[in-house]
Amino acid sequence: MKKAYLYLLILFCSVGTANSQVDSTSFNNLNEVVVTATRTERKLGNVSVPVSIISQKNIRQAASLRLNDILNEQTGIFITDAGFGSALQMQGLSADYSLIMLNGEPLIGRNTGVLDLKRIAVGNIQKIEIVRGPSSSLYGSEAIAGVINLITKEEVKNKLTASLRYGNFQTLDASVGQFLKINKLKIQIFSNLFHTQLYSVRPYSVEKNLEPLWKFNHQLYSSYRISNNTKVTLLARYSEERFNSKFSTTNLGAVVYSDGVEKHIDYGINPTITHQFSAKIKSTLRIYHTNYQSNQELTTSSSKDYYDYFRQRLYKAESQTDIDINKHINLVAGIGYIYENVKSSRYDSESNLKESKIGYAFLQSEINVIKNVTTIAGVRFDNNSNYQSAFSPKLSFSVKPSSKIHITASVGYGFKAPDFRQLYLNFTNAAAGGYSVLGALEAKKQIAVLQQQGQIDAVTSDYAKLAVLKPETSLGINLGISYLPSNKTKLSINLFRNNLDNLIDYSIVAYYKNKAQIYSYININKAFTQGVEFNIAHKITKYFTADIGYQLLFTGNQDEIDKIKQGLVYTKDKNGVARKMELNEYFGLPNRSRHIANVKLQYEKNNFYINVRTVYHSRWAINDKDGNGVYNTNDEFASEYLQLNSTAGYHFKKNYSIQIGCNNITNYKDFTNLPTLMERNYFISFNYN
Amino acid sequence: MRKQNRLLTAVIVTVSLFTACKKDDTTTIDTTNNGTYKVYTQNSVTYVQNFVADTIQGYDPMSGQPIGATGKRVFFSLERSEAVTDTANKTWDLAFNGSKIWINGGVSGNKMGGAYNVATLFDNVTNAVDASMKVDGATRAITGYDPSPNTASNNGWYTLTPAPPLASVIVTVPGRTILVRTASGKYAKLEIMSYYKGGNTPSAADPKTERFYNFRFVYQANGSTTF
Repeated sequence: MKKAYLYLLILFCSVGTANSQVDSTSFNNLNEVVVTATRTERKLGNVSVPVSIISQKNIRQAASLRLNDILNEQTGIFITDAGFGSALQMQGLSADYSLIMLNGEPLIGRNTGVLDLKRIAVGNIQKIEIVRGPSSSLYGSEAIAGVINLITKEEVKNKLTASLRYGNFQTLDASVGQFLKINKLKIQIFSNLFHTQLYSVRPYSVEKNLEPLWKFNHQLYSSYRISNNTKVTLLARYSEERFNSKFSTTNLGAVVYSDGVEKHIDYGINPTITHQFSAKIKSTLRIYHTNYQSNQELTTSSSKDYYDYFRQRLYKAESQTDIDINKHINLVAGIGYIYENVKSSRYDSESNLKESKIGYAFLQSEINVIKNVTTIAGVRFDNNSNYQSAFSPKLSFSVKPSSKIHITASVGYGFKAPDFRQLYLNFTNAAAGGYSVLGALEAKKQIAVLQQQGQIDAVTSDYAKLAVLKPETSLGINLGISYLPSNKTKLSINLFRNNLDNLIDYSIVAYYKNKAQIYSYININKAFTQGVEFNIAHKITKYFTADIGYQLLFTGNQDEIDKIKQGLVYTKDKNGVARKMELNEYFGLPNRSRHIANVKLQYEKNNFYINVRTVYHSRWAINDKDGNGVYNTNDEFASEYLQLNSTAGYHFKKNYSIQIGCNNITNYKDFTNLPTLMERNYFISFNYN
Repeated sequence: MRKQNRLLTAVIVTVSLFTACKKDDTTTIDTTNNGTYKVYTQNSVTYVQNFVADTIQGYDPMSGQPIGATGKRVFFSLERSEAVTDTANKTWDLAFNGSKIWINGGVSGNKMGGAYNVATLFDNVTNAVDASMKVDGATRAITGYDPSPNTASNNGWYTLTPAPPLASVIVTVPGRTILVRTASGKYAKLEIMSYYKGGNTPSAADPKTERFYNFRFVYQANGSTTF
């Protein structure tokens, strides 16, 4: 703690000594151009859905290295870590329901629905656009809670960048980037290396938990203007992660040592060509291929070695045409095709490719007939080989009654396609009593085979529900107002409600003769999330700004609420005696905080800045302690927590800057519920730009 | 890596559910264990605390087999409100080992025992339906694990939280009542309140304190099906 105070003292002393002149903080970014909301370039102040922007400056001043670092400090975003990586939660919806894209193309390689945000380096990201609310009408599957689009833009002039950062736990981050402009050809290369002594503490293990972790990211972006009307771009990226794993588990003196490596490889290539046919018609053709693979091999001092292999590949071609019909009406139309395949040791046979083919078309029309009112109507149709097709319409409005007020309203459908695991998993845990989990497309087939072999004891009532999985669907409503009372203050508020239907969950569909369960996936649940998100940015003095964000969230499962109302849900009193549960004891979905807040205070003057950033999460339900299958006030919660981070930076000799920072100043620790939250750590970084 | 460890723990916990029981039926009530075995009656409901069903020291981290289990069942007579031994007269009504419970009927005993589970509060169960009584066969009459208590899928008396394959605690489901036909053909209603020592169900798997049954029952001595 002493160290932390010392740090703060140094920071504030330096505030006192830093001297004068202009400030460039621009919290009022309504004129900034965004692309994710409509697939066309629009000013932020004109879009009809809630969009927020994280600029490169924000990323740098927060000293964020990976995507989870910067997203964690955004309003309404809750990063959880339940063992499958850093998972994004937006509008109270799990990681499965947010689409994460790089330059408009989806990133793949999810583990149990989670795309690990730590995989993504943000050193070369110029801008992150976050669109909240269902966006399946433009982007298809997964865009239920919203879309996060990472954008690498072109620089204007030749430029070399380099940065080196070092911190506690031997955390090393090194980046080098070069931008070159040779006539009409622009090339941007970026490489990043990240290394840390893996930080995790397991209370029930004798593991020495400092095993190294390495991540490499390389990216090449180039563009070439063939003519005034035609431009081609190419984005190629490769990233690799390696975790050395050496650990032991102990149980009453019996110690088992495990040793091995886990390796992830992710690459993508994305050529595009854009042609302006006339002033009114523009077309873009995008080709995208990406590959994600994960290998894990462990040898143990006991009998069973562990081997896990997963490889996912995606090929996509898409054509989009933007037409300005007249000055009031604009159309965006597109068609595309996605072919995806997966190989995994957790499916029936590793050599068997599992495939998915999607053909889709979308159309969006933007109408500006009435002054200061924009109406956008869009629709997308996805036809898939493995599940029922999805139809996703969306309607949104933007109204500007005055230059200070901007009202947005939108209602749209979102969907999430059943993933490969839910379709194809074929996993039997031989060591744990031989239970099996079968994907929905495998279950009936496999059970029939097992029945022939006389291995099935009985099928359950849920067996009859095994069918072609439907996509999980949502209806999302967003209503927002932003208000600029003065040029020093910006207020915005957004109300949201998401109704989810056909949620996929696993259920027992049959029993083996030895009573071991066979699980499969069926569409069963309904859930909702609703809440309000509030942001205020205020310039207190010329140099001092404050940003405050808050989200209030309510979630629930409609079937559970109905059951509680019917008096069919019970809980226990403190003696363990059962009693009826009341509706006001119901807490909703687990792993969600009712209140999330962030406060960012920044002082910036000349070449110097310092900020203090706070993230607060109220308690969240983690364990159904009373065994009734729903989350209520009697259950176990992770305690609320406050995280405090701070960074200070100084820019000198035109191209150089130095940055120091401290994360988790209060040294908050919760090994069980926040396993990846590092204890208080300091860093220093040098940058050349 | 976390994944890996969770998997191991999942193995450990799940295996415990499938651990076969040897039918070497001699009673071993271990009252030297810290949780004190106690039976008392209050408002005509009999409470049984810390009825020990073959405690263990832990689970082998790799095989998942319980360490220190004898595999022996322990027996209880609802009629006599006490632990009994499985002697020649076979007067036991319920037999326990780990999370499994047997009745004295069907393949498990030669008496008139039977049972079934309902999703009704103990206090609200007013009568037993003899036609609903099941006996132990390939499936035991008393359903144990309920994977989905909020849908009342099988009215089992316990669930695992968090759900497998994560490391789980055996948590009794509130509002589950077991109707029992005793060895002598009388009726009783039974609620299992905790599977852990002192009735303190822990938050994280704790093998050393599990297999301590805490339950309550009403026994209808006159042979009537109503309570």
